[in-house]
Amino acid sequence: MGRKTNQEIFEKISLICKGLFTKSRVRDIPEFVVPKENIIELEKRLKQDGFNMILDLFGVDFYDNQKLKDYAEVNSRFAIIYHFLKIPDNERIRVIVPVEDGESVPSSCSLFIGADWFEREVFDLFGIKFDGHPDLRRIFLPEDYEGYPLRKDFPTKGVKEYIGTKYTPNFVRLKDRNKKHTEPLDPFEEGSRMVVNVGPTHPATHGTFRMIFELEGEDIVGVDLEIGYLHRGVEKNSENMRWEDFIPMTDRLNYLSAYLNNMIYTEMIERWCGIWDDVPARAKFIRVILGELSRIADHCVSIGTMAVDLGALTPFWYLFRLREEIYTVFEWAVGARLTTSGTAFGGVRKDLDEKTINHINYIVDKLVPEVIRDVDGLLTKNRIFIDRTRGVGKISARDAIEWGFTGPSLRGSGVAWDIRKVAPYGLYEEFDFDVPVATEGDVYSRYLVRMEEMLQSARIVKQALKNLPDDGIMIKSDKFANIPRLPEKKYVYTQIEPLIHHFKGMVEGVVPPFGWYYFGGEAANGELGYFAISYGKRTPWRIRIRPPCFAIYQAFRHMVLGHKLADFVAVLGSINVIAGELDR
Amino acid sequence: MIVGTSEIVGLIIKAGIVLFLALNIVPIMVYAERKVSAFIQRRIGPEKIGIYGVIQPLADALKFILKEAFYPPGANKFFYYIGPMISVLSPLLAFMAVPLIPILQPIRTELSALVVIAFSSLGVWGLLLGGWSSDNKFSLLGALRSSSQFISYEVSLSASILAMLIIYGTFDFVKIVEMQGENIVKWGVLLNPLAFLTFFISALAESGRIPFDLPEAEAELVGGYHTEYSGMKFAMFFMGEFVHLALTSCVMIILFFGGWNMPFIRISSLLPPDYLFTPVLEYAIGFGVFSAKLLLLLGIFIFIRWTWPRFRFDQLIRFGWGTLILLSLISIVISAIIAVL
Repeated sequence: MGRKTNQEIFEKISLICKGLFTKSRVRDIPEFVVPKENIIELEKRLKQDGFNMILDLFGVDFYDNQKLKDYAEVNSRFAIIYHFLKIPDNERIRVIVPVEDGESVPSSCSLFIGADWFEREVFDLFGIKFDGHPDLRRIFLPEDYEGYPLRKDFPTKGVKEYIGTKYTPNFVRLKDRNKKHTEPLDPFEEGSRMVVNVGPTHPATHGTFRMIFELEGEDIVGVDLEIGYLHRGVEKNSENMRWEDFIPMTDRLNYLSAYLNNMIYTEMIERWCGIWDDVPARAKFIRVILGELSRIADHCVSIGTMAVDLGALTPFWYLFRLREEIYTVFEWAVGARLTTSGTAFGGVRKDLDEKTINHINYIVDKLVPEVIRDVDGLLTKNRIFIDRTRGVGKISARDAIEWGFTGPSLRGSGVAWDIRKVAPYGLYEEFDFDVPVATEGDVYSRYLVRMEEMLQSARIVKQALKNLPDDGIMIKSDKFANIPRLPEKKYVYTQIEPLIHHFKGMVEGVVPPFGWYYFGGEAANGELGYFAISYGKRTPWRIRIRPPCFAIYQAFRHMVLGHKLADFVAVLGSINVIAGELDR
Repeated sequence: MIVGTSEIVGLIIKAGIVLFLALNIVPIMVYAERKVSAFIQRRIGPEKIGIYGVIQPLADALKFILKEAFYPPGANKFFYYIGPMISVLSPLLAFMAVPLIPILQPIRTELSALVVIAFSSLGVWGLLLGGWSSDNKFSLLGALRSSSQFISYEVSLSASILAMLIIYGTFDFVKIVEMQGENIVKWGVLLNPLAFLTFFISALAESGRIPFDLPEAEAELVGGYHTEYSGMKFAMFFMGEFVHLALTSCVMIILFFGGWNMPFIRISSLLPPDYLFTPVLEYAIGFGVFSAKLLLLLGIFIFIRWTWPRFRFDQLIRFGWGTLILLSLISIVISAIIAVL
């Protein structure tokens, strides 16, 4: 099956959606500017054509920047940007909907249910309302918070000092279970239902987020999720820092596999600036090696904590032993264990030495198969474990795509969707590996997928180590003057010319070309994407992070409804929600 | 019944000894659990306090004692305090009727099996009262779970005990052990393996440990019935659990593993018949054999705990009422056939 080029997709969509858009062009992907009245009709036609996922939905505030408005070809202060994705053809288009302050946009929830939380996020951070949204509340910030932080005129310190966490639950309920309860109840009313609050500090919430359950006996009949306890305003902060200063911020997204976040972010900037081909192969190999190791570490935590929540404490220790060894590698190869910041624009910060390579070899040859075998023996065929996980938290492939699932959770539902395979980035096209798929879509499937993925990652690392080239770890090209190739320190201290270069390099940093760019890669939980807007200055105009577990966690409500209280921990463990990535 | 002073003194001494032994199971179990779990999980375990960390349980106890005696503001104080006491007292009382060796049975009665069942069943009151009175939803859920779980498994536990009693034809633990003798063919585990199986599983469930630790399932219920407990009151629940485990193990040894009898060899045949201390030595060896069996069983319990995941509540109840009770009833039938033959 030949993959369509952007131009072909552009022509096809132009034909299908004729008359609905005002402007159109092909940039990194085809783009269409659509007035907000037409967005629902456009979505309907896209859906007919097979576009089945809203990958991302976010707002942009152009404020008074006429140049950016011209670039986007909109004439309003805000724009809402939709990324549509077609699985499994990997066709992507971008739709830009101009919005003025105070206007509202029709909600996409009726067509793409996965837009639910994304729209709430836009409402929360930009104050743009969505008509027809079933549950339009603020999502990260307390409901009585003043101001919309991602607007450009919002002061970084806030409109006024705020202390408190006002939150009104709005339950998603199980329909038709018990006739007398079909009408909405006051959630805290005394009755046959018991409202149990779980989190933000609870043994089963690995991270800080809150779940409120309505129980009938042990059955979950209503759920509400509150997130935002770890909202640090990463996207807002990014507007006040240089492009390379954002690398450490990416560590704090999915902090279990920080290296993958670094890797995808740096690769985005490199591809955007057009220097990707000049990055030395050794650096790319090192990125793949460390990235896959951190994917193994991430899956270790995911499986281990799920097992702990199911009462099996021992697999957790086996897996954490493996993770510990991987972190030792990170300590030697990068210098940090958890928050690696290991990549730099144009390469990696530190080379792998002999000791590290030997240790990585030991890990992928010996330790990973051994640990997987042990955990496999304890869990995979264990009757109790199977009873606890099979058929629990089930989600069909269709629903999973609609909710915006990516990564192991989607593959657990039977969709062989892995960006490393369908649109190889990094150097993944050079390695031989399989994409594991399980068909059931329950907790057990996701567990199996993760287990197999660890072995596949080890396979990739093995191949990469075997063919590790030797051409330096930092870009040498002079084509790209923007990347500061810093002179060596001894010259900086003694000569004027290097000093000037050093100074300019440090102060100005990297400035990507004017405009915007999207790049997504396969992080441990799914597609982690960065959408960035550069306005020609040394700080970004906006960096949007597409977090994989944000889309997955919104479906959690529907995955646990009707199950027992004890099941929610299994489901939560299997989708691996990381609060740092969820809240940003 | 007229009892003399010497009998009362003897009773008190015996009770004191049994109490001492039963409570000393707790530090041994705490240490063994830590060390065995560390071994299973490839950790080192406690090693700083004493040689190989043997004094660790003492340090734990000290920590429990020194904690603030806190109780939640909304709690019903009386029940909150009495809960842990019941849960530790009931297995201790039941221990009084368990003969570790023939002379060491403070409540010397023909109906020792009934006494043990009666007292050990009281333990669930402690969990129920403690969980209900501490004014916490997790505690309440844990207490509800524990009461329904323990009551469900009590049935199959008692049924499998009954199956053995039918075979032996007596309620008296001493007589049961003497009937089994050193010949392992006559041991309960070979007479009726099915009853042993059901008893073992029910005992596991009654002890509230993995895979049956739903009352305190820490993942979803934080701490279950003891969420709001700390310090010595928490330690009492803890002790209650361990003593209960030791109690069921003792009963298991008596019913199925020949009590203080050494397999294949009669203890008295090892000793010179006319030596002055022969009876004392016989009891000492018997006690040693019993302890060895007990430690072995407890070790198996510990291994199970660190290997398996936990059941879900509905699966647990379905297993209890659906499979286990059926099996234990079948084991009664088997016993009846054996008894008739």
